[in-house]
Amino acid sequence: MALDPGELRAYQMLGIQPVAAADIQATVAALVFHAGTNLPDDALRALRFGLEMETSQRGRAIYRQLLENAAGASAAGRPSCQDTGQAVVFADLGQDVHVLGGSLEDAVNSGVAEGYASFRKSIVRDALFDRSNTRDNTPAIVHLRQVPGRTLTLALAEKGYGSENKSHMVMHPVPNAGIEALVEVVREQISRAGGGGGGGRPRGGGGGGGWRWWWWCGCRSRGPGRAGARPASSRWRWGATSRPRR
Amino acid sequence: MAKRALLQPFDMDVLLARQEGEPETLSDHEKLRIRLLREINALGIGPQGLGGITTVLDVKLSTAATHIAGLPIAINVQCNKMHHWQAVLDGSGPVTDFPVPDARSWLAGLDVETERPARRLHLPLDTHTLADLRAGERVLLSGRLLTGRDAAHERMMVSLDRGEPLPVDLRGELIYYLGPVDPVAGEILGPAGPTTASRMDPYLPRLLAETGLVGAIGKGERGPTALAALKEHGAVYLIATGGAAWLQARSVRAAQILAWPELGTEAIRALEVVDFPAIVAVDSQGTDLHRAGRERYAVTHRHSDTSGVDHDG
Repeated sequence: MALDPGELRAYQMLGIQPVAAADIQATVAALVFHAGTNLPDDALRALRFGLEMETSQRGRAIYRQLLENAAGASAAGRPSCQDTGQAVVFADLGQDVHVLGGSLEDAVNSGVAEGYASFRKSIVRDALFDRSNTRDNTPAIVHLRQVPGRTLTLALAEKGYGSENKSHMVMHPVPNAGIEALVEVVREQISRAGGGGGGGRPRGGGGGGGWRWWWWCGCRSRGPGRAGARPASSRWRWGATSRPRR
Repeated sequence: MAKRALLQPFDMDVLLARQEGEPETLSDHEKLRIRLLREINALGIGPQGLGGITTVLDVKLSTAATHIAGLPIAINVQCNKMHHWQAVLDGSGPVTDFPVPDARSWLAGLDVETERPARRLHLPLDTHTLADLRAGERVLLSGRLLTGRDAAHERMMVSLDRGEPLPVDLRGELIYYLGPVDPVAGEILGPAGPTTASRMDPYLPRLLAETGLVGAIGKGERGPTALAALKEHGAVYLIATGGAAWLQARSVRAAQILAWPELGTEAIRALEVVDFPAIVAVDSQGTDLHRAGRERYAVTHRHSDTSGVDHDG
């Protein structure tokens, strides 16, 4: 969707930055593939952190296995987990950007279909009435926010449902109950969700305002190995509340 | 909002270091994150739910305005595979190049812990081996594994309801709760790790009672109904590490769709595996490794000092 010089000049005179839908598609496809085959540095650091912290030998073995798995998958250019999830795209659209040659959402979905080509397709057409697979992992969940500026920022997360099924939303019956109430809700829910199973209803995204949060779940982390030369990480200690009962 | 918080980078290590070195610099928000982390980890659930002090590695918290009558709380859980990547488009073309983190470097400096060698088993399991397996044992499976997950289980129930034979004979077999990635050129099967077993709980009692199935492989704990059924039939439940699908696929030497190919990844397959690593989570006596692990690590009194490694047996 190339612009001729006259058109480009017209956009520039109006202070508008054109971004081609085709570029959005190509970018999303690349993001999908890269996210499915690589763990970001901070996620890897988190696994090592877990390995250093964990006292259970079995748990440490699991962390190590996950690091080895991540390394192997990245080198092979294959997904580290069979569940490459549902694509969740946060699009921060600068208000001086004009998407050219198609809609933003269509471009994102085309990119998702392209990017998931060699991944598992995990999306069904309708949660209730038609659980047939859409076969290209669309639709993505797109969270669009308009922001000042002349750029379009796309952040992509591939949300697997093992962990998603452990999620929980509640309207607390005593709104002024404060932090203690929150802690109790969290403890209860995580205790019920456990380490791998868990029922619950999948629901793709957020709701309205209020408290929200997420945490990482070591649920799916594991590996053997004892930290040898404990690097800076020997400082990692839970401290006061974490002594397991022997 | 919860999903957006999910995109914040991992920083709990930094937070804990600050708590140790300069606790006065922590905000209330940060203190609450640390408290929640500790409260959750005190539950003892641990990696894969097998017991341990790291149930979560980080807690993110995001708050916002709300109505005078409301306190909405949303909890969103993320797995180790925290995939989030970002690109900024400025009109100069697509962004397709992203840095490749060096995962291997995070394995540096790890000694090999001495572990008891895993027990090698051949499939199908004979009745003696089945009765002899003990919860907590590490095993390496070789032979034929059948696969099936949500949709295939639903269809099997329909067949049983109608009194029709199942398209596969489950007698003496283990079923692996798996929805693999399709293979690409040069692969036998794409990444192939376990899915959450508890979703198959409602189907398990009938399969054990009516088809001759002797066990299952998945991830996570089983519910009371499934545990009771396993015990009643002297069946076993094994777990493989969730999130390590690339490694697990390397044990697969052959894969063939046996039934319901239209289900795609959810079709019933037969896999030929060699040394597929698993752990016995529920043995034929009904011993439940998840429950035992969690009870062992749940914090009942609070002390410092977490040095040393426990040998979970």
